[in-house]
Amino acid sequence: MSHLESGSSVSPRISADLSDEERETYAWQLDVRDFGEVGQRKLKGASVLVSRVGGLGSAVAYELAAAGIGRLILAHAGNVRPSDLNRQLLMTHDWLGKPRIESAVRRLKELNPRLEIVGVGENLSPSNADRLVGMADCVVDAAPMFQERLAMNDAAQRQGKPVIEAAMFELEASLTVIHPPETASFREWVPEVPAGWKRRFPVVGAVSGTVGCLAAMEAIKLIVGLGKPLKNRLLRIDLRSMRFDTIRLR
Amino acid sequence: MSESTRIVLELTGPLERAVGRDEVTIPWTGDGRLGDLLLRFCHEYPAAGEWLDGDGGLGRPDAAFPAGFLVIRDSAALPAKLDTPVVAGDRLTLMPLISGG
Repeated sequence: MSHLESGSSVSPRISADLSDEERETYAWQLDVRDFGEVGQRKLKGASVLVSRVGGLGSAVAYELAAAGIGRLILAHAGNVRPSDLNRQLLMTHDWLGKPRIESAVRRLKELNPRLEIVGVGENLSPSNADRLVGMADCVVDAAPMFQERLAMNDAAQRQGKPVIEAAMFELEASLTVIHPPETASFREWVPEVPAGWKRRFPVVGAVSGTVGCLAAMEAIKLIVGLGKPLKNRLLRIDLRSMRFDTIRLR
Repeated sequence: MSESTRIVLELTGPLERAVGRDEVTIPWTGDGRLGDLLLRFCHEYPAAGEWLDGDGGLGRPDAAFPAGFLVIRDSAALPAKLDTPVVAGDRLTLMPLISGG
């Protein structure tokens, strides 16, 4: 393993080379401008923490697994319930009543058996955030509770790691990249748990999937050094009207 | 109501759902403070208070800006300060940050 210096926001370790089978699997994305084999090797050497693999995090993890990320650290507590199945694409009917994290690992391994997965049957909290964030090059925040988002962002800021903040509500969604001091910290916008937010929120699975795919793309961009990540900008999505706006945050 | 006598607030996400409208008009003349605008909005639409004024302290001199909340003008977030200037004719978006996954 070597360390690759680049223009990316994270510096993943990379394997020296891709196997022939990997070149064949990723052939179509190796042709992407500014991506190529170097980008693929960066992905292979990278670790991403996804906080909860529910509706949004399932899509993030699935796209990263398909893209050839080297390692995923997944954190999600609890067992699969019927009400998960409208959106949590890594959960299956035959796994009802069994741990969500096991279902997620199993499904991702079916897609990409080369993928290394650390499955943690816990949600992010102040007591485990530093340990879990410490295992990753970057973090995708897909948690339903602001308490988890605050704990994760605090840990990521302490460790200088970027956080992709993705969230949805009904037919709306938002996405931004937090990486102080280049951007404001999460706490500058959310110093404490906001009034009004409820654990249960209205959700159509396709909305989670939409923003999950976009969040995965932001993770890939950060790791590979591709394009222009959503730093100091927030993408606001309203799928009721198919309106996509970018809000300047600084 | 002419532009010189009102501020239009676009509401998003759970705030839109709470108030039951995606846009409201607040009578307003001249310059003023964002904090006063939010107070007036909460007074006219009490359901917004759950999001903007959870502890009922928005009107206090030491009130803090509501946590997890963006006020947007011309596709840019305004400073998260209650004394941010607002002016009649403004069209602002009130966007509670969301956490659904």
